[in-house]
Amino acid sequence: MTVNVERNLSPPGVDLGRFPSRGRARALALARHLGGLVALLLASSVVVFLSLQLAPGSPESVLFGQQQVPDAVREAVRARYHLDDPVPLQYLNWLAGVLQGDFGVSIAYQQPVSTRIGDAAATTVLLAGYALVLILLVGVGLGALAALRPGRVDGLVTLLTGVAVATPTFVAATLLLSYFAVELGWFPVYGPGTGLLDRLWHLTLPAVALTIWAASFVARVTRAAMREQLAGEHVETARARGLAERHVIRRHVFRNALVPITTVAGLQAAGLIVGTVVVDQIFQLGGLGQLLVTAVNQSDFPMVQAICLLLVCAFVLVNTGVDLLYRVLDPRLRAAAGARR
Amino acid sequence: MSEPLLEVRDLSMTIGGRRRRRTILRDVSLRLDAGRTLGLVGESGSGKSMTARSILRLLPAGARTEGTVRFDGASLPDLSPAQLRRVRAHEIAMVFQDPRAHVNPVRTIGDFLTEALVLNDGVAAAEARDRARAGLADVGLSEPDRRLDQHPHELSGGMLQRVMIAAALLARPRLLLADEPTTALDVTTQSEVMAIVDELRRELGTAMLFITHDLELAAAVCDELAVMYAGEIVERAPAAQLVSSPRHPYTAALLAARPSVERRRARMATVGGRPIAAYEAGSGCSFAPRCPHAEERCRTAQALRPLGTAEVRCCRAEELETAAAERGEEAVR
Repeated sequence: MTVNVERNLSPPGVDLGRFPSRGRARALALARHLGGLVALLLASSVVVFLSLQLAPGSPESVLFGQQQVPDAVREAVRARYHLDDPVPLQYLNWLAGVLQGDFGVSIAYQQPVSTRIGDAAATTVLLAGYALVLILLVGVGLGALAALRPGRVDGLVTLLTGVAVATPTFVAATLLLSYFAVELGWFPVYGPGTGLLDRLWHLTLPAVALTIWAASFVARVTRAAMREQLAGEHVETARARGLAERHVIRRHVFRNALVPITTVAGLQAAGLIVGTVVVDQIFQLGGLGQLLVTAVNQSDFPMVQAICLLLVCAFVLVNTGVDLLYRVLDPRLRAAAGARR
Repeated sequence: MSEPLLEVRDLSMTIGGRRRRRTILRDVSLRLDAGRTLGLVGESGSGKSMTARSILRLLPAGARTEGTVRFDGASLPDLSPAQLRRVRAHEIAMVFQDPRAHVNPVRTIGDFLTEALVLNDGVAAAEARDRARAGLADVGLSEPDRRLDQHPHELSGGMLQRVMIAAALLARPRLLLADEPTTALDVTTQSEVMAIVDELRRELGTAMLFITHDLELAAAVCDELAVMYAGEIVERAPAAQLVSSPRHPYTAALLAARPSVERRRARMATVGGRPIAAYEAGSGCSFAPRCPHAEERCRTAQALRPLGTAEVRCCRAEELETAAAERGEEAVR
C-alpha cells in the first residue's frame, strides 16, 4: 500500500487552512475590545454624575443649612460649584476635570477631593490585593488538594468550605475581630497603620475576613474543575504516553482547569471592590469604603461622585483583565473572536 | 515456537463496586508477533477496546483483572509504576478513536508532539521540534511548520488523527494499539489515514493491534483477525481465511450483514436479536440466544478450540462447515 499522491488534503491551489494575517485580526479584536471599554466607562460616568443630580439636597443647602447668608456669598458658592450651568455643561466640566485628575473640591473638607482620596485608595488597593493573593493561594490550594486526594482529605475540605461558603463577610469580620484582636490581642483592632509592614499587619484580619467566603468558593470550583479534567480523555492520552503524574497534573489537569478557575477568581476580584467597603467600615481602615460612607452621610457630592466613579472603573478594569486573560488561557476563545471579524 | 511480542492469556476483567461486579472480559487470549498485525473485531460493548486498555493498564476505576499479559517476556500487570511508564513511553503506543477529545485543546500541536520526547527522554526543545516537524510530514500534513503552532480546534478531525498517529510513532514503539482510529472520520479520510498508519508501521517494524467494528477494513489491513462477542473471543483465524470461510455462526452472520455493491437487496441482512454484554451472558455459548443453529448442547460452556488453522468457540463448527460446503456444491450444480 503506498500513499504519496493524495497526502495533501487540500485541493491544488486552495489552501483551506490559511487565514489572512492572524496578527492583524488579533490587533483588530483588541482594538474593538478597548473601544468598548472606553464607551462603557463614559456611560458609567454619566450614570454616576446624573444619579447624584437626582439625590435630594444641593451643595449650598449642605454648606449653609438653615442659616441666612448674604446673596453675594450664595452667588459665590454657586459660581464655585458651577451650579448655574446647564446640567450637560456641568457634566462636561466635571469630566474634563476628572480626566486631568481633578475631581473638584470636597464640600465637607474644603480640600481637593483627590488629596483626600489618594491615601484611602492606597489602603483599599492594598487590602483588595492582599485579600486576592490569599483567596487564590488558599482557594486554589485547598481545591487542588481535595481534587487530588479523594477520601478523607477531600471530605474535610468539602466540609470546611461548605461551612465557610455559608458565612457572610461581615459575620466573619466581626468574629475575627472579637477573637484575634480583642480576645487574643494578636492583631490591631482598628486603623490602617503606617509603613508597609505595619500596614500589612493591620490589614491581615480584614483581608482574612474577605478571604474566608471567597476562597471557599474558589476551592469548590477548583476541585470540581480539576476532577472534571482528571476524567478527561486528553488526560488518558497523557498517561498512555507514559508522562510522569506530576507532569500530567500540571500540564493537562491544572492547566485546563485554569479556565473555570479564572472565571470565579475574576468574579471574586470584582466582588472584593464592594467587599472592601463593608470590611473597611468594620475595621475603620480609612479606605475608600469608609470615606464613601462618611461622604454620603455628609452629602459631600464631589467626594461621592469621585469614589463611585473609581469603584466602577476598578470593576470594569478587573472584568476586562479577566476577559483578556481568558484569551490567553483558552485558544478556542481567540478563534471565536477572530470568527466575528 | 519463538516468544511472541505480546501474549495475552485468559484475561478476565470485572468492574464495579463490591456488591455488583460486572464482567467485561472473559478469558481473552491473544498473541501477536513482532511486526505483525492482529485485528480485533466486534460490536460496540464487546470488550475489544477494554482488551487494549487493559494491556496498557489504562483501566477504569474499580476494574479488576485476572490472567496473563506478557510483553516481550515481561508481565505487564506486575510492573512497578515507573516500569509501566517506561513501557508506555517507549514500547507500546496507543491511538484513540476520538482525536478531538484525546488531544488537549488548550495546548499547541507542537507541544502535544514534543512533550513526551522532552519530558520522558530529555530531548532538547529544538531537536524535539525538528522531530515533530518530520513526524507531521511523515503522516502527510501540509505545512508542518505552521501546524506546530496551531491549536487542535484549527485542524480537521482527519488532520488531528494524523497528528495523534505521528505522536504515537515518534517514540518508535514496538507495538501500536489502534483503537478504532478511523471510526470518527469520513470514508475517504478513513482510507488515507489507514494507509498512512500501515505504511509507517511497516517502515518502523511496529506490530499493531487494530481494533475496529469494520470487518472488511480489518481484513484488508491485518494478518490475523479475532472476533469478539460479549467479552470473549469467538473466533480467531488468518484474515483472508476468516472472511472467506468463517467458522463461527456469529462471524458468518456479521459477514452476511455486510452491505454489498453487487448484491442489491430490498432490505439489508441483519443479525437477529440484540448484542448482549459480557455480564448478561449465561454459562453456555453467549451467542446461542441469537444463533440460528443453536441446539441443546450449546447451553454448555464453550471453549476456544483449534480447528484447522483457526480457533473457534463453537461446538457445532465442523457440522456447520460441512453443511455450508454441501450447500455450496448444490449451488454449483
